[in-house]
Amino acid sequence: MGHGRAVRMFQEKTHKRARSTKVLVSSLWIYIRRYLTPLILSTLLILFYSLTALVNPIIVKSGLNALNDLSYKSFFYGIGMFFTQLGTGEFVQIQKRVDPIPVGAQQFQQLIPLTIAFLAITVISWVFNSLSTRVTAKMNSQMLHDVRGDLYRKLSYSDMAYLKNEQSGNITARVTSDTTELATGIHLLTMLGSQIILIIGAFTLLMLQSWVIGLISLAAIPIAFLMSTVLSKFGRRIVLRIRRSFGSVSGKMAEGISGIAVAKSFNREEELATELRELNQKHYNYSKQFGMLMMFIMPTMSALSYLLFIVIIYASGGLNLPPGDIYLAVNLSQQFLFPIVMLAMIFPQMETAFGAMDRIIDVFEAKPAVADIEGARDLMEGDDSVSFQNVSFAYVEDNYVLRNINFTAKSGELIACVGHTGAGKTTLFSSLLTRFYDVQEGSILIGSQDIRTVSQSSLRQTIGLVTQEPFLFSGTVMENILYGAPNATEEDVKNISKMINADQFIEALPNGYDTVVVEGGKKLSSGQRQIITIARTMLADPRILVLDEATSRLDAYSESLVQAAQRELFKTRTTFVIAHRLSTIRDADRIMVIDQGKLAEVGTHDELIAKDGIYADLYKTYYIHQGLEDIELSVEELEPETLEKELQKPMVVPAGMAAAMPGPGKGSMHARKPDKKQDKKHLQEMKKAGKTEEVKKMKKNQKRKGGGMGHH
Amino acid sequence: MTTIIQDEKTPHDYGEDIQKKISTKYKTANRWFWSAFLRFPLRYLIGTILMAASTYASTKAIALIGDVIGIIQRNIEASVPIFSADFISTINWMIIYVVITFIGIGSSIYIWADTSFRVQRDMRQEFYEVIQDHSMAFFDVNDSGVLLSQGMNEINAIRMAFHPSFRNLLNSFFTIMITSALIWQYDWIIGAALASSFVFYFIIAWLYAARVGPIRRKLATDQADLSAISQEMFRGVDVVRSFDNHDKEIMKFNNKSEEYAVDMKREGYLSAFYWPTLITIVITAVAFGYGLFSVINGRYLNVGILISVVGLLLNLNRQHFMIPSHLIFLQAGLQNAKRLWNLMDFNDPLSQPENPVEADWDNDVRFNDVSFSYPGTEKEVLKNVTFSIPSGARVALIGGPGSGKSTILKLLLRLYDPSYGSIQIDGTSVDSMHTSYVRSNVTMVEQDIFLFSDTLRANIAFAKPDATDEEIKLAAERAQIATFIESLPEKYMTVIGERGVTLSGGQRQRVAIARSLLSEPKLLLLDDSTSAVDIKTELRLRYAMEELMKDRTSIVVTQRLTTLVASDLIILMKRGEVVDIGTHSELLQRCPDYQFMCQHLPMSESLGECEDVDVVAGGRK
Repeated sequence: MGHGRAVRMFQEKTHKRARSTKVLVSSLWIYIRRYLTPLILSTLLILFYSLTALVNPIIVKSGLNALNDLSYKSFFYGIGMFFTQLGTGEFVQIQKRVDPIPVGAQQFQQLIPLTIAFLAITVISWVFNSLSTRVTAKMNSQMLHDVRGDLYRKLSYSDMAYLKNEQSGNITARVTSDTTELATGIHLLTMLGSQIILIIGAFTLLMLQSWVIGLISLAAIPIAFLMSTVLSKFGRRIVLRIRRSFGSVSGKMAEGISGIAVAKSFNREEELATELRELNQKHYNYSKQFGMLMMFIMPTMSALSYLLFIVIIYASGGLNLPPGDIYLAVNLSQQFLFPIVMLAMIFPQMETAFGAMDRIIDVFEAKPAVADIEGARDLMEGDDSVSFQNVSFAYVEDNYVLRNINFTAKSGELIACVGHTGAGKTTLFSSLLTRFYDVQEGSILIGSQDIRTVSQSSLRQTIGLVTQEPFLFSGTVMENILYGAPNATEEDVKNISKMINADQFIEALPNGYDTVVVEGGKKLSSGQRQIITIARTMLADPRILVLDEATSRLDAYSESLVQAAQRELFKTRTTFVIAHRLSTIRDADRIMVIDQGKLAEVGTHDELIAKDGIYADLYKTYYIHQGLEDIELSVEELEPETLEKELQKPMVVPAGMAAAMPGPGKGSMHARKPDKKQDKKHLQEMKKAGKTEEVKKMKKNQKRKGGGMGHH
Repeated sequence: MTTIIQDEKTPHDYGEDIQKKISTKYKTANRWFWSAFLRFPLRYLIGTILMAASTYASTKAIALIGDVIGIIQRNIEASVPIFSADFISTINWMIIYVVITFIGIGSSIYIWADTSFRVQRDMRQEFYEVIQDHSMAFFDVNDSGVLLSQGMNEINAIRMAFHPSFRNLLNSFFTIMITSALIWQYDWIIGAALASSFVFYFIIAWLYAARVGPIRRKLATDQADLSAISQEMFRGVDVVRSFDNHDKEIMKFNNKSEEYAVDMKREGYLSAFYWPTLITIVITAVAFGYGLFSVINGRYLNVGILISVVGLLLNLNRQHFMIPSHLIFLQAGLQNAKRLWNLMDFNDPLSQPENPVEADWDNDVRFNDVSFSYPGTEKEVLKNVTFSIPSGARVALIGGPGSGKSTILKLLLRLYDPSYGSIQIDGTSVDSMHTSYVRSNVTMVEQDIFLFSDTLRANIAFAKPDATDEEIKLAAERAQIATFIESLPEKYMTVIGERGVTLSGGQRQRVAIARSLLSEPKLLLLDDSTSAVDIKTELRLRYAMEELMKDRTSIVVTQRLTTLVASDLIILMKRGEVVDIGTHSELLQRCPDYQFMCQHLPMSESLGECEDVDVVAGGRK
């Protein structure tokens, strides 16, 4: 694990902690408290283990000195002597051996208990160590599971804005890697105690042995720590570079794999391979630097301990210590040095753990999603009218996306909603009616009930939402359609698919309904993905339906087939359609025109055309452009297009994400999608500035040509 | 017309077949893995020699501690000054050994690390180049996220098998051998016992690693699954919320998390009682007792020998505790190599012809009774498709979902070969041509445009990297994207994608058209099934496409009525079969399927009654 551990030691500090160590430790206590017994047990076991590690060299020393000591009678005398010496503090110095060692069975028998004690202590130490590993493993796994569960639940129910603003990868990192860091941190905490005890114990023994040797050993501390800080400073920089270059190799490879069809069709494989080779070489160069760093750490550490030996031997020679004592001093200096090196490695890791804890607490303290009020009742059946009463809403304070919306849809009515991108259509239906967010002013009523007074569960069972972005779960197509109605049968799925003309799409898939959706549906066309999401919502049979440009990704022919079928399904429910095609709009009972967050016009198609207002403009810009005649319009007459404002800002790849090693799982290849809601706010401003002129121009052109549209 | 490529006059060098090269060079996964040593034999040899030298020096330094103590004792007994000449020279030797250790360990680690990183670099490149060369059949069945992770993480794991793991194992091996040899010098009995016990130890440790390894790997997949579950849930949180399915998702996560906890505990329990350690513990204890006895009965000259022996044994105990985890890494590396090798050794249904031929692309394109199913699937997506396209014709492909339109385009690019029948250019079958030759004559603008996260210039010049600025500008102008690009502050050097600006769908499409313009294909394939939503995007696109189709044979998948009307030929597909072929007015006259489709195209309304068939109501007037 050598390298891995070293890399961890050099982990960059990307996150400035918001909380003090004290606060973090006390929050940690919440979890530690639950596992107090195993924690204490494992700490005690490690403690015993550390102590046995100290006792063993003493036994060896006793053995060695006993051989030397003529007054030696038994092993127990040796041990007894040792403790007397400990007690009085005066170590009997040189005991010169005058006579040669008498050879005999008696001595041999006397040494047997010493050997047995040595063996016993080593075995016991092994048992302690093993037991503590076992206890820790059990505790750690349980605690990790607990923290993860709590965190996941908390995140699942947290504020929609928070979830939408964070990348799913970052949120996942909270749940997976941060929790792992935390568990490692707690494990280290138990190690920390035992290492400190080992250091103190070894040092005390050394001082008792000889204060000179004790002081000599002390000199190793600053050296070890100095080296650890210097190296971790360089190391951190190198590791950061390695991660970045790893990230770019990974990015290039990801692109090469996902763009393979393009590379192949333009015969550009070789060039891509060359580009990868260059990045690969760069990554190698940085890795080499890391190798250079390791080249110093490892030998310096071992050279340091050897140097300590030499100095101690010199000093012991000068102090006339007996061989056993010299052995003990040398051995203790090791027992002293190793935990110090360990500590030098543990501290940066503890810092990482605290950082993780900090982020985890962020999540626990984050705003929860809209909550049910106390005594929330289920939504009553019967009246499915929806009314917006004076609704105003802002995602960010005072930046209103919707203002004073007043509108009532009768039960069973089909309402089409039109307006420019960013006018607030999606917000009104997909975010507010579903109560993903609460309105700032006004209220939304279903029947006679304010949606804030009903249980969210019953609300969401009543409303079916098909979002713009078709999202599929991994699993088969069948499982995906069943997602919203787990009790439905496969027969039901097939029926509903047939009804909305989705079966043609699904049967065209390699394994029909059993086709497995991978990577969010990579192998499906976006049209296929979208039609599956429609089937999913329809199967759930909601009383109120919101379709947010639900067929925009289908080709025109399929779309018209699907829409024809949908008419049947709309009949029995209150339906809101955020529309992008003429055919949908013309089916609607009424059309709502949202403009810059306000309800601008309401009426039927003919009424609104007659009014010649915003709707008429929109209609001419967007909905009738595929006829043969508008080809006369030349490109020069068009307004120059621009980058949409928000998108112009370079997207920030959050630190850690770009360079983070892509996990073996999915998801690492997905580029960041611009945040829809953010875009819309900015777009709105842009539209205000640019669009109106363009619309006017368009109108002029259309007029000049004199309504060549068939249905006029 | 058709030229068979002869050995002496090779008009095209198609490059070597990398997969073939690699598989003949290494033959098996194991050989590929161990080839690390063959790639840089000298470096690894020097690294190993230095390692052996430093291990000897560091072990010898420990042995000298006992010697020095022996000298001290002797001097005390003889009442001579403690710092005698042999004391000083032993200490000097110790210092020399420490210096050798310092240099030896450092340089051997460096050489091993450096060489292993080279191996990692080369193996990664090899892996990428080989899989890149596989046909689309490979990418259809392999998840790209998994491929990426294998190319990055599993290659890392292979490197880690060499550095640090194999290096450390080798180091442990040297330490054991040298320690045994040194102890042998003091006491051959302990030395022999030690050497033989370690043979035993290694066998047990290998078996142990084989038991723990799978659990470790299971933990890694558990972790990946956990991430995937969580990512999916947070990406689709509005769907989860709108179906009120939180509890289900939480349950899904908790079950996986539970599984992870169980595996983690299992792994902990297994590594807790790692009993092979007991072997060395017992040996050390026995050696200690035996050594004490040896000193008493005078077999050892002095206590120093005992100290050396015990010191060496304890040093060994400290060293070997990492052996099992390094063995696990080594095993993991071998397994990863096997997995990667299997991917590299993919049995590709599409292979390059032995003697690639060429053809005159200014001639007819012909589908001759073509049937096709995607590799690994049963379903026939094309059934006995036969048609002929005269050179220079504008052909429109139309059909409902799953009719096989896009498959026809893919076959023309030779991304796949037909399962049955043949596609012929000027009477020459496409599968007897080299893929790069086919693709240099055919260009496809796909429906979901893929652009690289690079500059606009690089993206446009993708097909022709040596294109001049003028050429790029001209292509951009013809694709109606130049004005827009020049309005950007960085102009053609604007970076798009993940680390740059995001383009709208229409803009992406036109960049792709500019890219295709530069490749100057003989045959153009265009997938244009979803239409733009607003009029300006629509218009620009139409002009750009017009430019692209000029003066060449083109096949367009479309539902744009204007394109259909302007086409020389329309091929109507339905469930993999050709229903009818003809011009717009012919089909409108005779083909009920076409009439039905036209009725369902949104622009049919504006087309109204301009033909003698009522498009809206269907049928003849």
